[in-house]
Amino acid sequence: MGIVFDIQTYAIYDGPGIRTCVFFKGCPLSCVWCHNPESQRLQPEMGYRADRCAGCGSCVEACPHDALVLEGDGVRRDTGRCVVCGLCEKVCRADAHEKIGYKTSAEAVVEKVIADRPFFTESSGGVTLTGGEPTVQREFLLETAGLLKKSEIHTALETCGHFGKELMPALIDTIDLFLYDIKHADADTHKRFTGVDNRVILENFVSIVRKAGPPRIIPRIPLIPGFNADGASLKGICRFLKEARYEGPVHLMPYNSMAKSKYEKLGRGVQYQNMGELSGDMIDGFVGLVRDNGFEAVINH
Amino acid sequence: MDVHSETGERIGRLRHRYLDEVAVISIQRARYYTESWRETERSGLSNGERVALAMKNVYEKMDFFIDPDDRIAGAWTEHFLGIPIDVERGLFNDVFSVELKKRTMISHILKDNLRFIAYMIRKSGLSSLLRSLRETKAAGAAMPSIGTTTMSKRCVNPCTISRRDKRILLGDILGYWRGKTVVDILKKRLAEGKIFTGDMEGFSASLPSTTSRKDIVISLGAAMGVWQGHLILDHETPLKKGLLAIRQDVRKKIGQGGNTPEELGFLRSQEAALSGVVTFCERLKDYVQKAYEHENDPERKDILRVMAQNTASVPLMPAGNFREAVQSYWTVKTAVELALPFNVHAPGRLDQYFYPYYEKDIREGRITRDEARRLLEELLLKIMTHNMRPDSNYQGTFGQRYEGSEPVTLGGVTPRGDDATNELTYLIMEAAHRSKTALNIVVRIHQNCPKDLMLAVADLHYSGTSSISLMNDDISIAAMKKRGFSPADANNYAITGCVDMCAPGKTGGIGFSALLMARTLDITLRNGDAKTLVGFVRGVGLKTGDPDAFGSFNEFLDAYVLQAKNMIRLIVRASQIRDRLYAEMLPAPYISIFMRGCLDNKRDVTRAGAVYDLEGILFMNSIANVVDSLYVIKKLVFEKKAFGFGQLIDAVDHNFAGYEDIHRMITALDGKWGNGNRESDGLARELTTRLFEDTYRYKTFKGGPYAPFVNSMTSHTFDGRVSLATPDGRKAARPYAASCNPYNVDNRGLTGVLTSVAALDFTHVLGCAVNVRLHPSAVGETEEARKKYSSLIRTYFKLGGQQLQPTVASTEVLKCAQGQPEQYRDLIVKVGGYSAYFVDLGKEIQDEIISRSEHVKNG
Repeated sequence: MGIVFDIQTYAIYDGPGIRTCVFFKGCPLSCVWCHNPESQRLQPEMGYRADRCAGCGSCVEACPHDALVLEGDGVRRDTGRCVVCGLCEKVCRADAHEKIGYKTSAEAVVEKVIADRPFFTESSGGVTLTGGEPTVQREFLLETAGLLKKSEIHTALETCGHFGKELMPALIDTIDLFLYDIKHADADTHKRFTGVDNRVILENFVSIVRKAGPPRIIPRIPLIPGFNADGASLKGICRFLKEARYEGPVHLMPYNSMAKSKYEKLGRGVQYQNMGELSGDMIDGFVGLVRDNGFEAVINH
Repeated sequence: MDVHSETGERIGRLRHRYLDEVAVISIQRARYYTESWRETERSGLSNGERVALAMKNVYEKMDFFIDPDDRIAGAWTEHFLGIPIDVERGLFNDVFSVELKKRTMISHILKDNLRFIAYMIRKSGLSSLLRSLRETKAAGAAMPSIGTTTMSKRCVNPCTISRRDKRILLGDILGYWRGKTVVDILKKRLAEGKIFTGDMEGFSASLPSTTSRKDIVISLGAAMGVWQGHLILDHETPLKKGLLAIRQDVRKKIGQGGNTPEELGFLRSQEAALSGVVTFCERLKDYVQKAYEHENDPERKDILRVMAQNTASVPLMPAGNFREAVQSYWTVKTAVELALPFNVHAPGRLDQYFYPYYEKDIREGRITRDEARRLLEELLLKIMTHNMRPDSNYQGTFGQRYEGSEPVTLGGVTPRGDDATNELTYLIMEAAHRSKTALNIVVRIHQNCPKDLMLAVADLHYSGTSSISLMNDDISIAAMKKRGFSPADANNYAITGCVDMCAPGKTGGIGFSALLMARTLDITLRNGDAKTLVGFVRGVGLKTGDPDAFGSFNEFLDAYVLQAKNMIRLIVRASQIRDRLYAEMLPAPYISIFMRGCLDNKRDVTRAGAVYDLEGILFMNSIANVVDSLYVIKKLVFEKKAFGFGQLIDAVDHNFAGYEDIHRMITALDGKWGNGNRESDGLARELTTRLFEDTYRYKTFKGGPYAPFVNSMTSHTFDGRVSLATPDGRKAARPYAASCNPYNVDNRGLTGVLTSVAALDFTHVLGCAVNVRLHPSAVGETEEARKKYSSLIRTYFKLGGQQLQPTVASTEVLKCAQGQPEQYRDLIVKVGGYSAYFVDLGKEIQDEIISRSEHVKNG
């Protein structure tokens, strides 16, 4: 069993063809710009949208753990008491509560995604396992990927690369395409902004390039203002890619500042950091820079 | 495809004027038609000849109009933006009688309401009436009303009329036709034919109602269109042969002798009708010639010279070049649309008809691509202007001005089955994009069509050109064959009406009736009675049994199918009465001359002269709500036994007030239609196939098949407005799902929606509208993404989908457009089956479109 927080069909920017994305919950990194804060914690949690709440109090009444109190126009949740049973979501008429993440089996996930097989076949698409960081739920990930392989569905893994080496053989065996985040080549900067060292990440990358070959891995660079959206950082990443003997395209994923409401929904509004804007000209400049450093650059939104 | 450049100034000006000017009602047609009709009353001529002569009188006396921005000559009336009226059918006679003056509007409303109250008290007593009114109010519903704003002052589709014309129309003209129109006689014939069952006749007579007589409610589960005119004229023959040669053919047939008196009467009507159209052409030519002679500005004189040359030669003679071909097409269409306004005469496969002329002109340097495109832009806008009706204000919040049907069909295969895509396919798409005309532009997709064509469609969708819809040739051609069209004619299909397939130039005027799906479910739940927000009617359906007595879901399903089949039978009987009436009263010689088969068979199109005939049964309001309701009944009533029929009906009657638990269980039920759920998809297929197959049993008055269509136009909103809640959780007075759409209960995204829709067997269906609303990001910012969008559509077609008409507009944009309409003047959306300018639509239908699931980019 594992914990998934969303399954989205007709994803057209997450690997080749038409894809269905399975979002795993939980991530070992804590990137300051994270645009999927609901994916960070492994356990299911409750989201709450103050803008929808009618302040009727029916959830407060219904909560068997007294975890909710009416406060002003809305409701405050005591996360210490809340056991994420989801009853408040069920009784709410305004859809203000939302349970994020649910327990499910690999079989159930595969049964759901397999419904889109005709779309995968026609478009040479498949399933993308993403998150969060799918490797956090290693058993569940391998089971899901194994079943997908058995069903002959092309499987991509979006990963931050921060996982133990012992996982590698099984991943190489079941994953058709690694969409692999390379955030920064400098260890200190990486640690400062993501909470972890990049050593394992870079080593794993090299290892996949060696064992699986370049067509099965694509490095993706999230372009984050104030972190890596600058010439020196990008050159550093390109240098690493060359050393790793990687010879394919590089995906650039420009930052957008739209995740604010997601943080607020989780009651973590204070954690949200706006990293700033990237202009079209700046993005064009980065594309040119990566190209000048010997890689084909593809903008991926 | 170049999707960025704006259109030229001239076309922009034309568009803005068509959009913003108040249309003028022209009485010339009505007046001269009536004048002749009176004269021939005792002539002993056949009705066909009388119709032909009446219109000839119109063509001889009407005034013409030409605008400085016109390059294609010929307007519908003497005004830049005018509406002619046909008084003999009487579709809108009551609209004029009532809605041109405030005084008559108020008295209409008063009389209507008094009649309604009197009926209700007589039938069920005062207390029951009061309860029903309270319930209606509680549901937030109000009976639609014509209101008190006259036609010239209203917001939606205003039309004005001069004082003098109003006097003549309301006095002499409408006075003469009172009691004599098709509408008047049809009502009597339907009653004589015992079409109305139970309390139906009294009930519908009592309803506070629209003044429009386009449709008749024949039962609470069925309605019938009063006219029978969705068709595509044979435009190829006049282009290739010219009208004079066609008239020679008719004269030859008369001269050959051996004709029965009926045949001779028909042939004479054809000769007279051709002379009528020839008169129209010659007077148009003279008008343009005079304008040319009187013009002093050299630049304008040059333009008029070309127009004078064109009108001098076509459509009397065969077209010799592209400009002539366009002019020939337009002159014929305008003349016939004047004889039968509001019919929906779609243009057919314009890329095929015009291509030989275009190709030759390009090759010989007579025209440039841009010149041709501008001419097409003008043509597409002009076709749109034939698509407005002087309809009742009752339609107000549900309506708009241009009902952008009259689709142009592009691409597809040739009659022999080869790819038919050509340069004009792309050019017309581009013209549609740049002109922003509110027409349906239907692109036929088949297995071997160029990849570029799908990408061009994706480009245009991304840019928000929602006029473009897609048809799946594989399924559509199979469906045509099943209904008796020859393989070549099936391959050659084109779209008329909103989404209706036919063999162009060979299929006599299609009439339409509608099976009201959710109302039929209500009738099943009430064992043959029906309840609406405006009253309860006994005995409109069969006694299929008290629902509590059904031992299994399948028994209940059988009962529903039985009720629906009964409605289909009623539709068959009613439409046969209607079609017989047309054949007797109002033959259509002006269609017959442009309809293959009529001359060979020596029969009018209303008497099965055409090669093919067809009657449509619309499955509306709606498959989604009924399938979901049945699914709820199956899962919650029969399998989980969460509640019984009694509770469910009570909940529906009370609009779920006090039954919130039941409503919650219903909305929480997973897997409704639209999620690719095997069980509900299977149910949808089984239910619809059983009903689709039932239609093969019947033949129309003209011997053609009855075929199912799935399209709701705007009826899903105004039918919804007077309807109770439904077991799928839809609340009272809320719109039903539009056309063939799932009811926005999808949580598996676009692929789930398309998988579910494709589960229906569309090889029984001759047209459907599948609306999906997309954020541009779902079509794709990059070419790579647009290729995926193409794959999405191809997969949907391979799964068995027949049609797709995306509206590419985000919720945000639509809301902005509601707030600042002037800035979104040319934003086009798909309503039920047709295209329309969003800001022209009434608020209720705008809200319905906004409430449709929006599919954004994922991942």
